[in-house]
Amino acid sequence: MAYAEVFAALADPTRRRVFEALRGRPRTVGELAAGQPVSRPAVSQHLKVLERASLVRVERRGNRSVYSVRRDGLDELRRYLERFWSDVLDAYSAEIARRVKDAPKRRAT
Amino acid sequence: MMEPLVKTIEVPCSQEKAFTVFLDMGSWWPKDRFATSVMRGQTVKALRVDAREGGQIVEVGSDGQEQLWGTIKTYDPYDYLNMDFHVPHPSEKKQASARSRSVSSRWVRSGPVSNSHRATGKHSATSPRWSRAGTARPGS
Repeated sequence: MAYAEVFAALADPTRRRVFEALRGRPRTVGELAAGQPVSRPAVSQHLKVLERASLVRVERRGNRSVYSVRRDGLDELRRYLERFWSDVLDAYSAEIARRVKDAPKRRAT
Repeated sequence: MMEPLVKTIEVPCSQEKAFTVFLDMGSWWPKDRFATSVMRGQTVKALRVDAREGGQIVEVGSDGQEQLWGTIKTYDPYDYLNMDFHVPHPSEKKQASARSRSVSSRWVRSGPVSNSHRATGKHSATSPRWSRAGTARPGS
């Protein structure tokens, strides 16, 4: 399930910061590492996880790797949340219906 | 980065009842599907909701283990609720506390109950931060 991978990728606070740093514009690993309290290799590892979760894409420009945000992973996350809240509110609605149906019976007894 | 997620439903009862039943979460929440106990191979013994401002929503597993789901930030009976929700996803077990979403519900008489989740600010994409709908009352 792709959304699980997205959740897992974004559960780590450092990885989330790396991802958020890409929101404004594409960046290189060096640029990303400069803004983070972690080493460059660590940032590279985080980027690999984000890439697997379809949250970022990498593009080679000469000898540099430039990372940018992909919508796919976010769309997957959103679809999951849509389904989650639909299911939850359906259950709530069913409970209301059950109570409304039961109410006259209780009055009668 | 993530657009607001807004769900609206209509329920055939009074606003008061709709609000009250909502907070009686143990009676309707799909506990067999969306609960941390299930992720641990247990069942849910209870969903405890302390219905007041600052009150907590706690899942109690059949093994007695408790999991904090959220805290009620705004409690405005029959009209409005705002909660910080930290229900963890199976894949994020230990880091659950790192993710908190603001979930709000507004009740409108003869109208729908709406649960609105809005992505705001810079946390939106990575840690969907859900807040009240655009119709939030001033000062609340």
